[in-house]
Amino acid sequence: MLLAKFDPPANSTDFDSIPNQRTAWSDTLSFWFTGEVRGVEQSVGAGHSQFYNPHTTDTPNPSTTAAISWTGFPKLVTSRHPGSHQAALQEADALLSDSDGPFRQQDEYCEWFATKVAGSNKIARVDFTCEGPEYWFAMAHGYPDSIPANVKTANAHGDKNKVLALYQKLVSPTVKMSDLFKNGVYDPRNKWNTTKGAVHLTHPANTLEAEINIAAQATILRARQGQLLTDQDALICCAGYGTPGRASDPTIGGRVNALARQGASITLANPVGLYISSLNTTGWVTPDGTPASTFWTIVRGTAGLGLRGVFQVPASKGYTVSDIKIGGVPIRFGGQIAEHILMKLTGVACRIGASHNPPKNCIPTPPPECAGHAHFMALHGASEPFDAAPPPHGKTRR
Amino acid sequence: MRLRHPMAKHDAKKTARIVRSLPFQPAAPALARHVGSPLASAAVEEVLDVRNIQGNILAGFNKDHQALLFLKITDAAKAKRWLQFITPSIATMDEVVSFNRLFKAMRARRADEPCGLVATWLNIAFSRDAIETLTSSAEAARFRDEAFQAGLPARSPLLGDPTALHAPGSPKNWKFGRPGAIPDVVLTVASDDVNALQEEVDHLKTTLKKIPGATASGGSGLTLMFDQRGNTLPGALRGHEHFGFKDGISQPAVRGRLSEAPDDFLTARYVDPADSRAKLLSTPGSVLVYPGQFVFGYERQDANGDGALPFDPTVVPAWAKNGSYLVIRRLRQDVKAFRDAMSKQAKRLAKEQGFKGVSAATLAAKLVGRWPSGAPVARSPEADDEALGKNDFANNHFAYQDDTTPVPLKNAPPHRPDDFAQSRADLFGFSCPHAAHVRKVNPRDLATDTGGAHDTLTRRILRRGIPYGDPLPRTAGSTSSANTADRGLLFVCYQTSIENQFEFLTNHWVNATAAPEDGGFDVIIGQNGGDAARQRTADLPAPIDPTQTLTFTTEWVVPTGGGYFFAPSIEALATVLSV
Repeated sequence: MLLAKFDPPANSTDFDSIPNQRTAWSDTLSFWFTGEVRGVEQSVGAGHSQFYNPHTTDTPNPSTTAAISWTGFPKLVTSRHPGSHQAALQEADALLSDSDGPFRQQDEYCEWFATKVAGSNKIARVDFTCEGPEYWFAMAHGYPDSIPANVKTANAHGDKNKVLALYQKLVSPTVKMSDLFKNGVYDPRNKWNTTKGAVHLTHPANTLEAEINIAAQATILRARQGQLLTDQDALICCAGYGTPGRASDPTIGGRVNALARQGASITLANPVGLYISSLNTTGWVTPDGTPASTFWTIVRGTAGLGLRGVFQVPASKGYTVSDIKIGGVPIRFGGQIAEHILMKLTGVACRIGASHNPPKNCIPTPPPECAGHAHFMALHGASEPFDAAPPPHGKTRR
Repeated sequence: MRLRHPMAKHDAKKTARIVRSLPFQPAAPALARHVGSPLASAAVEEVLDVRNIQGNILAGFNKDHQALLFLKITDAAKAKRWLQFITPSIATMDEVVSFNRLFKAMRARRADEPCGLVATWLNIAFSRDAIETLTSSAEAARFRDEAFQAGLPARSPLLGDPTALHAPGSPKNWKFGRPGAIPDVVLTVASDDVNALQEEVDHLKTTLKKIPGATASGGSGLTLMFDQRGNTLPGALRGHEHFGFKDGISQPAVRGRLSEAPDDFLTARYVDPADSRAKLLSTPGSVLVYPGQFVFGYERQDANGDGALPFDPTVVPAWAKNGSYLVIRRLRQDVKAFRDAMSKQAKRLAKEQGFKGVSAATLAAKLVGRWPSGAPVARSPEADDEALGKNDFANNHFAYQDDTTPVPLKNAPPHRPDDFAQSRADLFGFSCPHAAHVRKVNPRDLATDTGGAHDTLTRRILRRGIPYGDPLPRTAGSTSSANTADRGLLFVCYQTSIENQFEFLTNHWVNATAAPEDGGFDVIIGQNGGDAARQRTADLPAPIDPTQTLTFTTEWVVPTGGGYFFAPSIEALATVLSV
């Protein structure tokens, strides 16, 4: 059956009070999905995309869902500090900057902000978010800024006051409208979302559209030198649909491509989103023996479909987050918690075995991270020869 | 062959003077090599310092009888003299590889185990505090692994171990390695012959009371805290663990050469070089891993590709080169509880669509991922296949993400051809569930929560465990006292990062419901420290019918001892830790 409409991430109700906003969001998602299908078709030919828009293409029975999970702490940062866990934790907390302003280098679709106890280095609370910036832009203006005018037919214009109210609720009551909007346009890199807090994702690669793009591009079968690629690292280097070395991108792409190799049609489950799946606090030791899991609250989204989580010790306990130990080490960085957060998205596979697309060649210039990574052959599975085909076209998540 | 302590033959009075003045000399080369299949492209692999690396790390003792002797340093100066005395007795990788090759060659020729070929080996490792005692706090602090610095009792909750005071699995109740009573030194003694083992252990205990040849009064500066024995199980269970499953089949195939000869590999290569996979595999399914994952000073596995990363000298002091972290866990196995749980769940499951008639044996095999013979469920989903389980060129050749294809071999020793059914793509876990033990601890070709299949190679550990205690007969009645006898596994593994290898596997994958894939705990060895009831679940999916979720509240694996140690090189032992 067809999906009647795309719902907001985790079925959030923010849009319910804004006229036509849910329709606008559904139209946005449908536009993105259709665009990605077209992008894939440039490689595989019209009508042959294994990625599909569930709003316009049927999802028949039987279909199956597959959760794809990855760890919240940025693996690229870990890789830069193989000898020092502390250095990696420290770096992950530092902000980077580009022409749009400061942003976090937490590029696994999981970003956080640690609030310190006044006058102390101890952590009072850590806020985690995985909400795409597009959602917040849409809340402010009706649609994400990348949506063309011809798609904006729902007569939705957003609600800036709603954005302000949520910022005041989530970060600080002192947030002002002028802090969030420049010349009337929402600024995703505003100070309350960067230097003073974390409301939604800021890393340029951490977008909802990027998630859809990777899922779509990964449905294209790939071959190098006549051999079908099955290895996740080989695939990301060949297709260039993300950044090698992350935990998320090779995993998402690898899982999706594995389904595509089974001849499946693939899409993302509604409500489409990036989610905090769980926080594993096993073995965390608190000063009074209270289970650390009791200090974790999903404040936006739902359990398993978390959009925002807060780790905070109630004042009544008389101790702070930094008095909790993980493996004997006190929590001094938000990243220590992120290492135990599992992120996820959910894919849908149907019509398994129905597609018989031939694999396509690799993009002409692989991502720079692939330099020096030799071989990339199947470690365990088959290495089957195929005929060469022209290179594909696709966006990248960088 | 009986390898005795060389110092035992020396004049006692001369010995102390000799060990104090003797400069470090590497051991003489052992037996000549038997080289494997030639592979010209592999000449780039590093040459391992085989006369300096302890024998159990990369070569593996593989003995039927072992003793783990846990010691406490009571007098550092005397302990150093004892270490000087014992250093020449430490078995090198060179010696152990040579013996293992001889043993293998004779077994192949005779088609039976060689009679009378016996070696008794000794290895040694130190706790973080022992290193501080024997060197300095600054040197000890240069080991950057947070787990090693904290020690196992502090990290135990992360592994899901019970924390309640009364719980047998709580570190406070362990037989060794309790908080405040962490052994400084562990000796691993291993032999093919139980009497030879006892003789060596007796000898070592004697030296602890008085160092042979020592002129100083008093003992060795070390006292014995605990003597733990392990033995392979008898009869048909040989090579199996107490639940009845063949153990230790899938070990990392470590890259590296034993000499400058281009094809003198630690791990023989039998894949036909004409096949592109020859660069990645030693045998079908055994993926080659760079030695720096297990021994400091060598190239590490690139988590994002087939290549290597250089040794990072900042993670340990310079003298730690050729050493390795050692994890020991004494895991008590409640065999009756395991069998009862499998029977009970199978009985319930057998009534459900998609699982009609399933037996306890099949359910257990599904949750392990292998049948008792070692045959992988991925290749034999319906029933055990002893011939497959026995075939070292087939029993490790399986994957989860894609179908496997035959791997052509060259110069392989005589074996039955791999004419068994290949493994089929099993993304949804219909044959081998996502929660199966072997799929949890080694997801092979799958993408995981931390990356691709190369990342998984960086998580691998070299397991050197052995069972302890007598097996529980199938015929034991429900009230038999044998049911409650202390039996289990002495889990032993080597790696260069306890955090990123052993602890990662346990905390992130074994004890997790949604990683490396969504589908539940590894209920065979997993623990749920995050739940007061310690309940574990595992999903069994079926192609058409609904997934069945199994819930277990009984624990059949309970930690009862352990520790984190560092196994130094022979040179470090002689020139740093004992001086």
